[in-house]
Amino acid sequence: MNEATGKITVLGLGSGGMKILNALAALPAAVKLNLLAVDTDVNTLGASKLPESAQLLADVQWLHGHGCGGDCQKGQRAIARERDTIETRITGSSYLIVTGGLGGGLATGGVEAVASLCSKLKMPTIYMMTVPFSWEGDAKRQKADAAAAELLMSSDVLLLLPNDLLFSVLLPETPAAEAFKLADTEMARAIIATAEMLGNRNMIGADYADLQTLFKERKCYCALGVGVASLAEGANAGQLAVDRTLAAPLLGGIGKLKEADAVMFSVLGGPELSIAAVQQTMQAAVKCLPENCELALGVNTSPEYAGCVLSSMLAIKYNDRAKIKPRRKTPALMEVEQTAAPADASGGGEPKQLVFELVNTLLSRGIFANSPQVSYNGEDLDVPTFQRREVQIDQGD
Amino acid sequence: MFKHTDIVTAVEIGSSKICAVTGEVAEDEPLRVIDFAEEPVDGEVVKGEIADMDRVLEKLIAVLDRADTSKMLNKSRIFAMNISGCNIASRQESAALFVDGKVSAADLQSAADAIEQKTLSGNLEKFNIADSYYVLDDVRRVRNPIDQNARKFELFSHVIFGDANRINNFRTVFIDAGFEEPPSLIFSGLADLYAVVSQEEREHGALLVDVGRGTTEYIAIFNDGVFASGVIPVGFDHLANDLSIGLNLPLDVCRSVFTGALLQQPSAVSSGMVETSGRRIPLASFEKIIDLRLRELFTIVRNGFPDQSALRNLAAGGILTGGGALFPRTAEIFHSMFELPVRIGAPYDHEQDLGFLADPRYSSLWGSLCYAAELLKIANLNRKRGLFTSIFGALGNMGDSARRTITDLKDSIKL
Repeated sequence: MNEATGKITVLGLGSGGMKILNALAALPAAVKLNLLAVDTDVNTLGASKLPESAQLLADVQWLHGHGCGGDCQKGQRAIARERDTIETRITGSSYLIVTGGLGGGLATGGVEAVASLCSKLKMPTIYMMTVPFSWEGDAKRQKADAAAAELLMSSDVLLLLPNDLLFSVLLPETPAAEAFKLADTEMARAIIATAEMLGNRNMIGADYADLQTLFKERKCYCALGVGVASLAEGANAGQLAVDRTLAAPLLGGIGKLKEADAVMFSVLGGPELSIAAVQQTMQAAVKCLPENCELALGVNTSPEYAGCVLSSMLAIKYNDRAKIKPRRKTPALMEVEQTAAPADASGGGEPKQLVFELVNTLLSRGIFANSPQVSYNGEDLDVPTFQRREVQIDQGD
Repeated sequence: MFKHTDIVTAVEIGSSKICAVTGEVAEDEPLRVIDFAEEPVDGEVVKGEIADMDRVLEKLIAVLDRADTSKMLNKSRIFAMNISGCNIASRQESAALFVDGKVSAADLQSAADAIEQKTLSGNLEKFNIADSYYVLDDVRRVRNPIDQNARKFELFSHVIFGDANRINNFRTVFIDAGFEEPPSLIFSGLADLYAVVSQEEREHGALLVDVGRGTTEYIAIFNDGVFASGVIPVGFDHLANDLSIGLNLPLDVCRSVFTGALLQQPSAVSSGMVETSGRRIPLASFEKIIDLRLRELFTIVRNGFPDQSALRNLAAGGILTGGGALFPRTAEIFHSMFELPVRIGAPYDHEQDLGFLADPRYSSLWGSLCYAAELLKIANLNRKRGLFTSIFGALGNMGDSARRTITDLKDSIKL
């Protein structure tokens, strides 16, 4: 039987995903999870505190343990080449949570390949991806946006958590290193809260189906907060848990919460969780929410949470209240992309030659060039869908 | 003792093949296939429409010769041809009339005639009209209005129409092949209903999608009435074209992705890389291109329903047919898009094994043959008893452009 059987697997992609998994492994509740960190950089994996069984060095044959260097295509290929191994490691999981930072190489390029694999395995998957800080530059942000738009089409539940939310609660003098670390820790806590929500469904369900309903084909940005309070802290543990949730850095404060279009709020407690505590927690949470937002509530109990109350709040702000529309192509756009030439299969020590490839972004109708044009919503259906959606395709070696 | 037999022939001029099948109809016996012939199409038909009349004519003559129809001249024959094309569209129309007491077959026919006589703008021609449902006294929706007591009777019909010139191309090429009368035309999606959808599925509601090489037809049926249909000018050639452009591969290699097992090779599945044309291409690249196109295709089908809630009524789920249904990913994506159970529909006959015809690629052809057999049955009834002369005057001219195809005779014909 696979290690993952029946468990929730958390798959961390790239160095960002690795850091989140490191933070996750430090939390006691992580023992219930099956962790798998995938990276192409042997140094990042070497510095990880995760056991070796939870690490996968991807595409060692071609990348020789070096990172992707921010190249999405290398990331996509690396994950494609490890498809079989990843499939073996995640098969049997009840759910899969994929995490990592968009805007880099492996996670940005590889997450789509993971989505394709999960789709084939028909595995319910939640993508919890962080979006770079705005000061990390426009290029990174655009890469992250493009990857998110692509992933949105093939995923049911995509949570995009902007790192910028941290600024709303952190003091300006907070060291940058601490800000990054905090982002990872908060993400890890958010993963635990999500896993608990999926794993414990014995009372009022707020589960994967609710997430699907809230997220399917809708582009949005999320904020996620988790708070825990012990019953020993006083009679109002529910209120305390909600207060701590509201103070969580990745929630962005009550101001951001008031802008949410939809909120998913769940409470998890021990078997002794009383109806009064549930009512108190719910009332405390609901009064902080905007009036007309869509609301999904969940209440569950688990023996592991005896003596405490955990509340988690997922606030969703849709980019557009309507469902996402396909991005429109601007034919005039021509971009030059620098790609690394594929390494020699023999793995020789020759330095890789950099080639400059003109990416063909001109729309082509191929064999339909001479047939009458048929438009749908202003789009020429004879032009490949991937070209109209500006999706990059790896043509292989 | 000799039994009287008649001959029916179905012809298909599609984007992937021109084919004909001839069947023999005898009283109280199942429709028996006598002959079949097929010619591949190589650009003569594009997106369901004839692009080269001469070459289509050559191939049609070759196919009809081999399908042996010329030897049956002494027998009564009915020809049916299924058609598709991006010019074909549909809409719901209704006609109401006040009745005194019971609704009669003549009332039904009057309402049907009223719908048939409504003119379309431009150069459009109605060629199939299918009953959707009936409403009595503004409130009662019934399956069969005949003999029901009511003061007002309304017929809601599904009208399928297209550009008259492009439709006439199909008739012309058939007449040029040496026949005096044009064939009875049937929309491919409607023909599929005859071929692959069971009576139970028609009643409970089903969405049938025929994914062909040049076009995709869809048709939705509920409570034995058609309520939505359409043609999307996207087929599996678009997928092959997308792969060819996206992966820089020859078109024949891309087409083989759907007919062969290129993507199912154990080495491709285990390594995530597909080796073809001397290159190693990530499997994910193939999947990405295919998924994007299929998702877009099914999104357009879904948007074709003016009332999205109607999809929830389709308890029998989805039925995929046509050559594209043989590609496993089609059903998977259909299922994820519509959240309906889905099956692959192939021609069937309760009373016999259809052999090689029991293939989703021949759904429309087999459906057209069944349609021709139904028309023949009506024509024979008309001839023997003269009962339906008023209702089916049009049957004297099988090439009549507009014909009610579904529930003209509730008692004698079932779709």
